Amino acid sequence: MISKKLSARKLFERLLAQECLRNIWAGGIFTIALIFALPVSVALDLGQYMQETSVSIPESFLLEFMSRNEWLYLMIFIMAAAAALLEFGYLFSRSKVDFYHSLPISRGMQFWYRYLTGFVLFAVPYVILYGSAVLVGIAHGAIIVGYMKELALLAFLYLVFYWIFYSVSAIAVLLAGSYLSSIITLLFLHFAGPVFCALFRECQSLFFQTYVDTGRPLLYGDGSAVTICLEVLNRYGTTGYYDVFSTLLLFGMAVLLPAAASALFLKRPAEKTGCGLAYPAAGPVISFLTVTMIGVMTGIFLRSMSYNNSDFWLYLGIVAGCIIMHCIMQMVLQLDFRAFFNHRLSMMICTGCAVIFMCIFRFDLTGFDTWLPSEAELDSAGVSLSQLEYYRNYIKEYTQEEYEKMLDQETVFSYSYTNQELCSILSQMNLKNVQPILRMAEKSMEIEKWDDDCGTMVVCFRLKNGRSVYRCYTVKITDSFAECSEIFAMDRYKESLYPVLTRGEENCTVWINNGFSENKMKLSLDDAQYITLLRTYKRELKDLTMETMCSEEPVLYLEFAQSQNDYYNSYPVYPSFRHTLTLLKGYGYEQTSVYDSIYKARILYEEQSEMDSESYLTGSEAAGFTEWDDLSSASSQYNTLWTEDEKQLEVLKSCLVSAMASNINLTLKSVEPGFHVTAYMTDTETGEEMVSDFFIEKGKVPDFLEKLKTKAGQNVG
Amino acid sequence: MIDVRNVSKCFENTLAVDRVSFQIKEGAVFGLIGINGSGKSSLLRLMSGIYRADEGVILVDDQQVFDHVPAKKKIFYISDEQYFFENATLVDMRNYYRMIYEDFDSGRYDRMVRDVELDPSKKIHTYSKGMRKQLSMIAGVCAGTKYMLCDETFDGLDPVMRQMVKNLLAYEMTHREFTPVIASHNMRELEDICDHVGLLYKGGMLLSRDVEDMKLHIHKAQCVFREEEDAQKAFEELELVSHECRGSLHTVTVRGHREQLVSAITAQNPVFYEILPLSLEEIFISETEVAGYDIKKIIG
Repeated sequence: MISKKLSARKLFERLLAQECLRNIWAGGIFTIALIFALPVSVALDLGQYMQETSVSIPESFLLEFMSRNEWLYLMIFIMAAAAALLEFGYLFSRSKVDFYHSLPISRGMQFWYRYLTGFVLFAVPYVILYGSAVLVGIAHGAIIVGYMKELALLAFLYLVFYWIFYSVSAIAVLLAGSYLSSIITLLFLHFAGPVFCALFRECQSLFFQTYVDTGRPLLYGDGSAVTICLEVLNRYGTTGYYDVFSTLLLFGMAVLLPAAASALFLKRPAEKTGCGLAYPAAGPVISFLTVTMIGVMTGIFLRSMSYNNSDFWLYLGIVAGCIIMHCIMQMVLQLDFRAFFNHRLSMMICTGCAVIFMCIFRFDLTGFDTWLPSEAELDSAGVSLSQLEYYRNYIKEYTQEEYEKMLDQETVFSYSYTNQELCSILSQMNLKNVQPILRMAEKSMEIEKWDDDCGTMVVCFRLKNGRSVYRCYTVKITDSFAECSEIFAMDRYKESLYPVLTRGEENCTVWINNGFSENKMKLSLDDAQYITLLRTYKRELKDLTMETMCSEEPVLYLEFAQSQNDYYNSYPVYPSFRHTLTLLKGYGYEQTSVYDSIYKARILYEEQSEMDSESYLTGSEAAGFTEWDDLSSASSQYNTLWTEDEKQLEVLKSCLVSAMASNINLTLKSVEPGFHVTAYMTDTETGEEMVSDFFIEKGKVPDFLEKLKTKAGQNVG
Repeated sequence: MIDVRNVSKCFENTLAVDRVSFQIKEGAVFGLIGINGSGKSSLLRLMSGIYRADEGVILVDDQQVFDHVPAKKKIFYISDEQYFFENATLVDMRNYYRMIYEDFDSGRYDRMVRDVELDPSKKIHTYSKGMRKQLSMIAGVCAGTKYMLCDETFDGLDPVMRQMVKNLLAYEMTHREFTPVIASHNMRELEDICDHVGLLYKGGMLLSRDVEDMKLHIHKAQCVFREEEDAQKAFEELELVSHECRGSLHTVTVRGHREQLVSAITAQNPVFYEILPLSLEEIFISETEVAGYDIKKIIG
């Protein structure tokens, strides 16, 4: 008999090869999953793209597709968890532990050959199929010459993600003592951070009146490998950018997590097979956090389902959720159904902590809503006032594609920039005169209830210590007119509100719109004319005051389109913009008042018992109609008058306030409550019929409309 | 030599092994006896490096065993529940063991499995329990390790198979350095094979003795005397462990030298006397009674 001594390296390689061969079936399953997530997905997506557009496939298509391939990301996560259970699940069987741990193989080698098997089972099919996906893309006409490096880097990034998820999953399995408890620890390690952060944000959003969701995470990447990697992927995928911090973090995780798993394996007591947890110290931590979070979530859920967001259901939900989850955790961690009511003290502690956590938000124990910095603490501020930015969104300019997408979602006439975008704008606004903002914030704390006069003020306080704090206040522009005027007069505020003020002088197309229809007139201007118009308009817009906005209405809107695909914001031109109007006339635009073309009107009156938001419904909305043709059969609940009388229309025109064309809140215009006017007009440019809604200015109700009020009075009761 | 020094092991609230100390000398069959839950399996797992001792140290040829490959190379452990790879055949296991144990004798393995008529084409999971134990023994013997730790290996084997295993162990011991350690709760199983026994009870080692040594100091005799007074005189100077009287036939178990017993009996001119062989169980009874334990509770 000849002794055949293998070197440690040779033995390791053979063990690795044997383990891979023994688990080749798992590699086969991974391969099938990756086939669908990679080349098949690419082929389907490309096919769909070519079917829907006639445009040639852009060079960046494959890169964009791969970076937003949710299926691949999900598959990676699932496969990492499965591989960890496959390789380290033997620790849950006594006979397997006896077999493997009695062999003359060091524990370190035992760990690493298994660990690397789990990686190889994924990596080999992944690399092959990623390459196949790229080839499929090329075969369909996607030219990727300029993006090879990025594609390769993205492929490597996914491999790193798998390595990290696999490490976390391995740690979860090593902490556990059974398959059931390993699933619990797996879910905990991957999702406890994001759940906690989401819960924290949700509580802030529900209970803090001044909370602003800035989109910034509580912890980087919400404290979970899954979300951190997703953050890195999104950033890389959309911008091709990967910052030093993220890179170091990924690298750190890729090194430290396997080391932690290795340490856990080496320290893991072999006798813990069949127990709930191999490391009992982890039990209270997992149990406490899980039970508390589930309790809070249950409370919030029941509160949302209750009538009037009842506190009773909130606290009942917390207690019930904590008790139920505690019982489940005890049964799982102790692998005994009878143990569900063990550790009652722990259950009470969890419930108490959940209640305290909720009370912090519910009763604002930290003073979140009442916090206001002093002027001395502030470096600068940024502010957004909804009542000054109502209806027309000036802050964000869109491309044509974004605009069409918003049309589909019917959000084009509302705030359609995200909170993150708004916060980004506010953080750069740098308004040095912070006094009006602070005064408005102080006044907001006296407002107890929202009414029709209220709007929101989102503020970014930039403190001298470098911190930026965001708050959202309920403000009444009618009570804070002076402050609003002061803010409106600030150059930096206006530049944020009207991006045209910082636009360059490269020539672009100028369109004129009357504000009542989609039809626009294109102005053909040479460079010199364009620059003159732009400079003039900028000057007059800069000089615009709130008093002007209160007393005048825009007579037309200007739109500056950079390119054919850009969507352009409409900028108001007021009657007091005389120089601009003169220039436009010189360029061939004849200004006409839309009001002059009103030939028919329907006036609705609804008696108001108290001011509420429904009083500002348009006429058709108030009558419950959605189609213009239905207006002929108005409900008897509303008092209605149709008129085509020229004299009456003449009188009416002088007191109308446009519901659509105005760009500040209607409360500022002081309209008569209860009256809704639907006017039929003719577009002077195209001759087409237009319909638009109006209100009647306060105190200017024509005599012939007074009878509507009387008629309503007779109808009441 | 396997040297266990003051080893303790606790599982949650249960002290499975309680400050156990003993030595397993080379070239002798060591029997580890104890009822279920006495700590036999735990002790074997400690000795094979599966468990880490909470206290104390286990040395195999002066090397610590836990996570120490050179020491573990000298040990082959056969668990009470053997594990084989899923869907593996005995050829697959042979190839695996050959990779792990540098002195593994593949040729001998093939011959032995042929001799016991194990079908190499079948998957091991289709084998009976007895066949799997056979395979484990064959693998253990062919691994060429110095020590083989067997946990309840004889349990469940038929008498023929049991004898075969005993013959196998004996053969190995005579032809190379080989020391089997066999754990069982059945003393009768180990009677004719063990050279040294250790008795475990509630995690502690009650005694660890050489069997021959024990046999030198305890003897059993049957005798018949003419007069009852002769019997009393014969036995009064002897250290009696047990005395059973059926009519005129006295059966005594006596502690001391054989010559002393013979001399005492023959001095009273018995009608008949005979020195009988003692079973391991009878020896244990005498030893544990000295320590104050009720042997029936200990060995079941």
